[in-house]
Amino acid sequence: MLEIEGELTIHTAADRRVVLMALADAGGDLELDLSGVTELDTAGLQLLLLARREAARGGGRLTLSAVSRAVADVLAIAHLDLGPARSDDVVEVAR
Amino acid sequence: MSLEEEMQAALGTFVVEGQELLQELESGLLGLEERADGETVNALFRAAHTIKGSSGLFGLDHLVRFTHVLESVLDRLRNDEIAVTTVLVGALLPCVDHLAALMAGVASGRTEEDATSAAAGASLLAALEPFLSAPSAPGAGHQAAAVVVDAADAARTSPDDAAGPTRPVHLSLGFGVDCLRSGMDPLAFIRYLSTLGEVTGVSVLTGLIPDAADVDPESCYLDFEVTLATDASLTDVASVFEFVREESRIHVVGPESPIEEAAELVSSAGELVDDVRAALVRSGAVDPARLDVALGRSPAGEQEQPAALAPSVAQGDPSAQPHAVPAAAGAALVPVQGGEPRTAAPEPERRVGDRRTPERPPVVVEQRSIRIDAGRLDRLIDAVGELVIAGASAELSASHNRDEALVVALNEVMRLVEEVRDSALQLRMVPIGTTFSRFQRVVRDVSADLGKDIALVISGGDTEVDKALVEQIGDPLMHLVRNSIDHGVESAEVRVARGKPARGTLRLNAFHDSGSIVIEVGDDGGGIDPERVLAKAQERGLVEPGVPLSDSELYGLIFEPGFSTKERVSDLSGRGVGMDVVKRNVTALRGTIDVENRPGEGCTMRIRLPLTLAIIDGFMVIVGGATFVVPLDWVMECVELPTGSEARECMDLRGEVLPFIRLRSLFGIGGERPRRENVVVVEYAGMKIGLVVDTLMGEFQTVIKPLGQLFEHVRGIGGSTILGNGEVALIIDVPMLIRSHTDRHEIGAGAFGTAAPAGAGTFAGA
Repeated sequence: MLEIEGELTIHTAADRRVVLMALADAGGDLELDLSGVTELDTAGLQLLLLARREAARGGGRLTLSAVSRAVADVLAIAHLDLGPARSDDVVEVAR
Repeated sequence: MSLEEEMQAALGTFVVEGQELLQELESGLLGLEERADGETVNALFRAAHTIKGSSGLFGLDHLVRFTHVLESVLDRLRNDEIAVTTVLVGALLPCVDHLAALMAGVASGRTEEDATSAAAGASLLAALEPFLSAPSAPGAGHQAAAVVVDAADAARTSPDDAAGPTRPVHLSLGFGVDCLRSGMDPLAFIRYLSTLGEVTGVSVLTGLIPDAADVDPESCYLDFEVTLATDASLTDVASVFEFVREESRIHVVGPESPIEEAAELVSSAGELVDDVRAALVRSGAVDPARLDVALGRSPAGEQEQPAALAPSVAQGDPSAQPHAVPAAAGAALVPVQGGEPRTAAPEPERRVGDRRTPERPPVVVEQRSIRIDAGRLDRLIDAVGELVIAGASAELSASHNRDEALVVALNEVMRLVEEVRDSALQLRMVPIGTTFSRFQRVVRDVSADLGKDIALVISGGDTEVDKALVEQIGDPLMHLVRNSIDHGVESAEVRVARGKPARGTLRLNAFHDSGSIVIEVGDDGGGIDPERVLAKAQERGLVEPGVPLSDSELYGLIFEPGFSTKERVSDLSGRGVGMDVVKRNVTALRGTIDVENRPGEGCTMRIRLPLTLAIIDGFMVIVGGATFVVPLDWVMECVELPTGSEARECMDLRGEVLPFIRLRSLFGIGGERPRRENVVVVEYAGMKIGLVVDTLMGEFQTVIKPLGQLFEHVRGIGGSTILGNGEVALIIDVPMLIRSHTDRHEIGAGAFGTAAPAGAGTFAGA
């Protein structure tokens, strides 16, 4: 489980990528807690989608254990339904 | 253009295209019995499918419902579930007629079905029932229909909707790879779009994200396919992306966009082509069948169903949940559309297989023709015609001033102007074959009604004719064709008894002949019996007994009003109306008709028409202060009016009696008669007549302008034209003049005596 806090944007994307890819490469399921994310932009979204793809390639799956309001907003705008929500603030990415 | 107008325009295009498709359907059906290959059947199915789809987009539910059944039958035909039979074709043809009637209704603003046509439609569909017995095929079709109607609901424009019509607009947003670095966030654009309407669907396409090691996190690899329900114009929607347009692939299409634009949208998507197409189809902004046609793909029913658009769902994992996200690279996320989850149905096996097959390149069909409003074309031709006239008058004054250099230069200009005129006229030319092929149906139906067996042979179908002419020649041709079938070709028994093949032949032929187009309607029937024509004519008092008639005079009689030699009156022709109408219509087009009769062997009616209606060669004359143009076709010669003819109505033309009309008194023109008057001898239908005028001005090319409604009924004037100096000249309607002249003499021989007509009033009443 990885908690991401602060911006998940183009400004932090390079750093976040390193962490996310390392986790994805480790194989297995990838659980993210995004409740601390203050800002999410296209670069950040792209990174999440990339992480999900890589996790899937490794045979695992990406789940979002919690999302912040900023993340929920972006997912809504992009009409990305990342799986059925377990509760109001938990969104799962299913394969 | 307001949105309302745009929709109206789109609806107009729909009707035009629909009518073309219906024509395709009809000719396809007619050819079906002879050639029922897969291609023909496919084309039929596609035509019906496209009509259904487009109707759905405009919310024309009655059209969708009706066409759906038709389509289902054709689908079964396509799948070889039913065979081509005369009964089937006979059941389908009236359906096409019904659709044509519905389409005509739409054109005149009836977007709902009335009770009469609903009843007619229901009985037609009932006749199709036997061909639909197996429930399987319609099942799949129903689903497709429902989807189309759904999209239509979103797209529907109801005139009483005060909020203005909204329709789905599809945006395909492939932002440049550097957009993030330059501060343009695609999500921000999508967020902004919601100020223009409701974003009802977004697909995020991840197919372009490279391998993890190659990912530059500051580059943008995502494509967004957005569906926006909006009443804003496409231009307004597209203007949102003004700043990123250069480095991005931005496409905006709505139901009103030409299908080529949608095809371009899809085919420019590169690797994402399938996903983009899927998203576009799902948006409801385009008709999938037409899209596939434009893309050069073969449309297959199930491909356009949203249900089949979660391509990866069936790829493996059987535990896939409804909202499963495909993991394979290049696959789209399953989007949620407007909060209305689409259930992912199990996908047919073959689609998985052929989804990425290389032999379906995203080829956009080259656009080979454009549709132009006929009015614009007319304005162009009008202007070009006037250019010819203005040029001629410039040439005249140049030679008047003996300016050699200018004359040479103007010669060149005139050559070019005439070239432009010819190409402009060419624009209006259409092959007559389309008109001809309509008669396949007529021949089939009418001969069946009469129990005759007649084959239609068409030749010269690619002969080009002015569009306006084609439109107006249809009715006369119809009369001639029916007349041939009814009166010309004998019944099979008679034919066999006469040693002819049992099957009769009707020929339609067209060719160009020295500046005219000649259209022939011929048959190998019994021909016209000259004796009976003569007897009938004498009985009707059309000719005096004992007066010798030439062949052309004799056969010309059949075009007289009320003339029919057929004793038995059928419901098709033989009522004595028709042939005179034919003659009148052909004459109105400045054409002639003659008969080539071979008694016992057949008969050919030959219509000769000018190539174009817009420009004529005229002969200009002056009477008092007024200028007239006599179409040169009718002019035989010009002579001087012999002195001492003042009180007469005819003159001696080389021993012949030539009656003449004084244009001065006919049109009530004042002023002194000149000392010398001239006579323009015109001939029409074997009748010569002289037109007395003041001055002869010579030949002159003229653009015909129709007279206003006010003058529509003025007889003797066929139109007007504008002269080089800006004055208006009236064009003399020679056939009408001659007819009126002879009528006046026949009808009013006693009452009018030798009194010359006093003015236009008398003439209009003649």
